[in-house]
Amino acid sequence: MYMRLLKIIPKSVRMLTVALTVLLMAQLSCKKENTAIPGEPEKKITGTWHVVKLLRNKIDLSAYMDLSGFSIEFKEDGTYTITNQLPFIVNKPGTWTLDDPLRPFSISFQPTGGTAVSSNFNYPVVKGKRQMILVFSPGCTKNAYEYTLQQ
Amino acid sequence: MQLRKGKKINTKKLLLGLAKITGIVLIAVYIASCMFIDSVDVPPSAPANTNTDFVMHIRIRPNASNTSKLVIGFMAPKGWNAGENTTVSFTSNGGNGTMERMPAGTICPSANGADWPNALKTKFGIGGNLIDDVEWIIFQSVNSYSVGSSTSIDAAVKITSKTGSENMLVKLGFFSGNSADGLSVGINGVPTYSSFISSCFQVTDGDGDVVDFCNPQLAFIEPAKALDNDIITLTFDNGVISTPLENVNDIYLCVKAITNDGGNIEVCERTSKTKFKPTNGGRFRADFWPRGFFNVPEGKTLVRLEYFVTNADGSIKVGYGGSTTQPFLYTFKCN
Repeated sequence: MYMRLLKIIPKSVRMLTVALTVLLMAQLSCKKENTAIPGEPEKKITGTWHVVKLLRNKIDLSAYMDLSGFSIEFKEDGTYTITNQLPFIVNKPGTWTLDDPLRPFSISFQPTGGTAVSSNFNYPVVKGKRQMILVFSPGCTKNAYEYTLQQ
Repeated sequence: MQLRKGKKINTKKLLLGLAKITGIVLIAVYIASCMFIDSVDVPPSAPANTNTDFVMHIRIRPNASNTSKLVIGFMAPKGWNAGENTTVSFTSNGGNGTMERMPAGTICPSANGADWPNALKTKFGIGGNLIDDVEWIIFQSVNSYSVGSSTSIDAAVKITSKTGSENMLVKLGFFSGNSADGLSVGINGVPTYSSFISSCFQVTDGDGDVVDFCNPQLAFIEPAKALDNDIITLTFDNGVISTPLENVNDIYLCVKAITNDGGNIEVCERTSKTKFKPTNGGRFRADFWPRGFFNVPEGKTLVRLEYFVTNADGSIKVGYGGSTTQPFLYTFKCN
């Protein structure tokens, strides 16, 4: 039935139909795909963070230090407070800023009445939880401390 | 081809197998060791703050053509600040040359992505020292060198380093390798690099008591250089010598901190705050942040600790050398 119908249709019409079909497919296939990259979310660090790991000169001291009491709260208004001190990059409350809110590489602290200091800023997700890793030297400059913080 | 009755060998497969084995052997030869430290001239002692020569005698015996830079590592106490106070040069039958500091962050091949100092620290630790206050300083030849499989080079590498200001006994570390192979090991198990740890080298005529990296200490504090705003680890090696506490497992710290204004703050209680934690081999440790531990008022700093280790009721106390009257001492400083 189908073959008979094809024979009835003139060859020129058949050719035109094929050409139109190819054109239509080409048009559809050339339609621009939506490849826009979703916007980089702003790194939110507001909230209270606790130390879950502490390295001194790459040696893990976590099992030997009481880390439970220390916390730092980053507030929406750009200020921070510290509770129950450990040797930290700053020892007084003040303000904080990230060098880039979308892709931060460092965080700066400006303690009230003190000098601004900054640390490299690492912000990995480990076992589903966001962590913040800061490296600094509160005592001798050759003693490097790496604090891993978690909310 | 038939080697044994009933065991017919496929010649094509055999040749292919031989080719594969030959290829593996060639690869092994290419990356096999070609660097040996035959000896290192280390004087038994040198005065503090003095430029001192250490000469490495190395052999380079490449098994295949290779182009790379000579890499020399020197492990010294951090207090020497050897990165700033060391020069390296070499003479050899293949030519002479100077060496420069390896740029910071340069990745060491075959070391899991670590940079050179960390790769060597991971590989060789602290070189048999008992105090973790040494660092590896890395140098590379200014020029790259091409060597052939028949090359035979004997070189003398002179390291001139300024000793620090402190009296000490310490083991020094030496490393030679090349920039292309890093810490790679041939599949025959032979490293492409070589290392050497000296016997105890003494720094004399310097400041303070001898800092002894070599011999077990009854008590010591890490880091060896720290301020009151660091975290310090106080280790008591119960058993290194005979003391009244040698069979006691419940031990506490009794400590007096001297402040920069000449005052002192004493913490001598038997509570969880001062209790040592047992570790391996009869050792005990107490980790704390001095400023917090002594509740140091703002504006004051700690300059020194004088401490004893005591039993649970305080009736037995042990100090320097096992003495019951002389405390262990620790001075807060960075250099």
